[in-house]
Amino acid sequence: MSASTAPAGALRRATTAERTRTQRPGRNWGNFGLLVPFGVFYLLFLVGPLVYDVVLSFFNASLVKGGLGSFAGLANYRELFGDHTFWSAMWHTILFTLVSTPPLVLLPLFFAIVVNRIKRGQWFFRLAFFLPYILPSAVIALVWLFLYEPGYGLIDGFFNLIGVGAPGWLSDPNLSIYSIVIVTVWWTLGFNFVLYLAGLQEIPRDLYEASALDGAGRWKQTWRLTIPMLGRTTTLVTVLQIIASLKIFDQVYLILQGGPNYSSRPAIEWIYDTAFTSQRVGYASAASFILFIVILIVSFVWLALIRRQERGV
Amino acid sequence: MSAQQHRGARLSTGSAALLNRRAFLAGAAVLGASLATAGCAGTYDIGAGFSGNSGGDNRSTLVYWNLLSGGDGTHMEAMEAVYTKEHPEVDLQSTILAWGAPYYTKLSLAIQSGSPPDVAIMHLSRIHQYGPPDMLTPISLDLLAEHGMEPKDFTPLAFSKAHYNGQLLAIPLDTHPFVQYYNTKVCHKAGLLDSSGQLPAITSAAAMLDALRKLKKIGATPVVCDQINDPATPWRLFYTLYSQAGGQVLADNGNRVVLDEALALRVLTFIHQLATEGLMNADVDAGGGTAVFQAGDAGLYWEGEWNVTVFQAANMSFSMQPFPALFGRAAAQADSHTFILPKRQSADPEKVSMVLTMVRTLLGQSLTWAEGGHIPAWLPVRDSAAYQKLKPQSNYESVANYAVYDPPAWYSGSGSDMENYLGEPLGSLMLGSMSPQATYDQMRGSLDTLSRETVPV
Repeated sequence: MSASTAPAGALRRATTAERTRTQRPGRNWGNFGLLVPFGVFYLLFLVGPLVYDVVLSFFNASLVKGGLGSFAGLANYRELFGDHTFWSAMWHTILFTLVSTPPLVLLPLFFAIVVNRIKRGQWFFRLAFFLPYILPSAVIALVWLFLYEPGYGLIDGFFNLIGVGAPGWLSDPNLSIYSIVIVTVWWTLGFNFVLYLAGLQEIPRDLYEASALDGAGRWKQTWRLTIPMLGRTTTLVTVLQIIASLKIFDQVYLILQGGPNYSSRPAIEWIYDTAFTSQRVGYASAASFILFIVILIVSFVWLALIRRQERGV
Repeated sequence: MSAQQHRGARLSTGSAALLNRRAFLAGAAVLGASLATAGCAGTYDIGAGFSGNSGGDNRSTLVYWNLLSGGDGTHMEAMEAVYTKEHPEVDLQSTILAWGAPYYTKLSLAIQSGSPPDVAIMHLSRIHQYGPPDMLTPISLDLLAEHGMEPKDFTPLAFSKAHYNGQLLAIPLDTHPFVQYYNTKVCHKAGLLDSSGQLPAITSAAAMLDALRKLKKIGATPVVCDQINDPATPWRLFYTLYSQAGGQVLADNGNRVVLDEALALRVLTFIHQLATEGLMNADVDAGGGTAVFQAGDAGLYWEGEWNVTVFQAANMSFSMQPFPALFGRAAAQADSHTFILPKRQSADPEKVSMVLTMVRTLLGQSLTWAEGGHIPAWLPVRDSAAYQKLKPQSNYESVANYAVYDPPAWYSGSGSDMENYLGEPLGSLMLGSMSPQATYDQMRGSLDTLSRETVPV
């Protein structure tokens, strides 16, 4: 028994070894060749700058002087940990992410389910929800400034019409981040909406027929069938949304410049201000490295949660 | 048989596609690499390709950068047209860039990378950021005289402020102060005008409160002064009043903070009172402030003089005057547009001469510039009858003599960190949402931080 299996095993091993020996070089070269175009850009515009950023963060680098400047050691990081303006900017980024992610996951889900039910003229709703997403942030900022403008804005006009004073969308420090969340939800909802619509088309029809035979109504189908079947889409949408929200910059910069009194300035604007207005590139580099680490940690935590969720399924 | 044929066909199309893809990828890689190397080695050429002007050394071109948009941009274009008509041999390439910090960032980087414009507009308050790192070409008085410009031809204050370490680094074009606009109809209705239809000078904070209350009584917005998305305006208001009270903000080129708590609080309390008493509408951005005044809703409007053409075009009844001295001496925050010559590795005397000729021509057109509200720094025009007749622009001409410029520091000046850091809490104060003491504390904290930072210039 054992004698007869041994050669067979050896043979199998030999063939695998042979296969790897004959196929590995060619396959690898091909792979590398395919990676080159992307790799060149990746190295030049992602890995390169990242390494340069870390190097800069240890120097008193300036925007207006050549070279790296004097060596700072850990001074930039030490200063950063005591700089409350940076940490409040970091908090604004995180608060924005916490507040903007739930509506940007739940609203598209809701609208996608509703629109998916519509039989005639569905194209119109798909278009209507997706259109704002194709506008550039500068246009969004202009449109919403017209809406928010106190006194002359459209929203103010509406509030005045019903005889209630309008909230200080642009001037109340407690409201500023929420003003931006509203803009962002309106603007980017369409992308998640399309992802959900695609997810909905993937759910097999027969599941609905089967559940209908079992006596499930519309509500029950939605709760017990549609939403669970969209689980993977929801995970994807949430991850993409968190990353997008952590990168918040353009809307805030264009609409509020981080004001009033820095109440909405996100981390990236702090980095931009420090590097390009204060011209302290070294210090700003240290800050962007910290932000990078934070995003990395958030991504890893999220990945770990997903892994556990998938193992649980 | 047919199945085999099919497979063969599929295989061959597959390899053909693979070949094509390979060729394509190789091409893409080459393109990527060449783009990348071009990006490293030939920024000069690529920059020229994209913008059409990177300060090339072609003798017949003159590259001129400025940050003048709106009415200022239109006036500058008209002045440039005079120059290009007189000098058809010169190809004047004028580039308008976005105002504020982005402009100065681009200018620094252009100088740093060795391909700056030949001449650029710079705010006078900004030369302290460019003088120390040796980024500007000093202009000798002899050279200036050769091109028809003498120190005595300029507003003395602006001309003396254009020096750094005893060297002339900038040629002033104007002085542009923070002023008071008033709606003559509304102010007349409130009984504020004298028999000649002018608003008599208001000479104390109490008198100002009085006048604003009268305006409020007739249902007008007493004064509008914007702060949303615009930290510079709150800073201008504060610095105007604080300077009137005799206060100083910085000393030793920004290494020492001398902001006086008692004096500052007097001014801050006054601004806070305007907000809490409903005497000031600050819940507007720059465009909104202009709109409120233009709509005829407001009695007074506090802003730089550069909006004058907007209201003239709207054909409304208004006038302008120096910002009233509410806290003692006459003072108003101001700045000057100046011409500067960015430093180049190899100075080309011919180019410098071309620039000075252009500057002299533009200065000669100062009356056009003055229409936009700015007080000409070129005295032959400022003292001319034509300018004196230009109303309401010449009403506040005297401010050029006592204007207060931002305190010198590497972090101060137009659109700078200091204006932003101080303007943000001041903006909240103008809404009444921040107390005078809290505003002072935040301003002080920001200044302490800025003054201690590692100097990047």
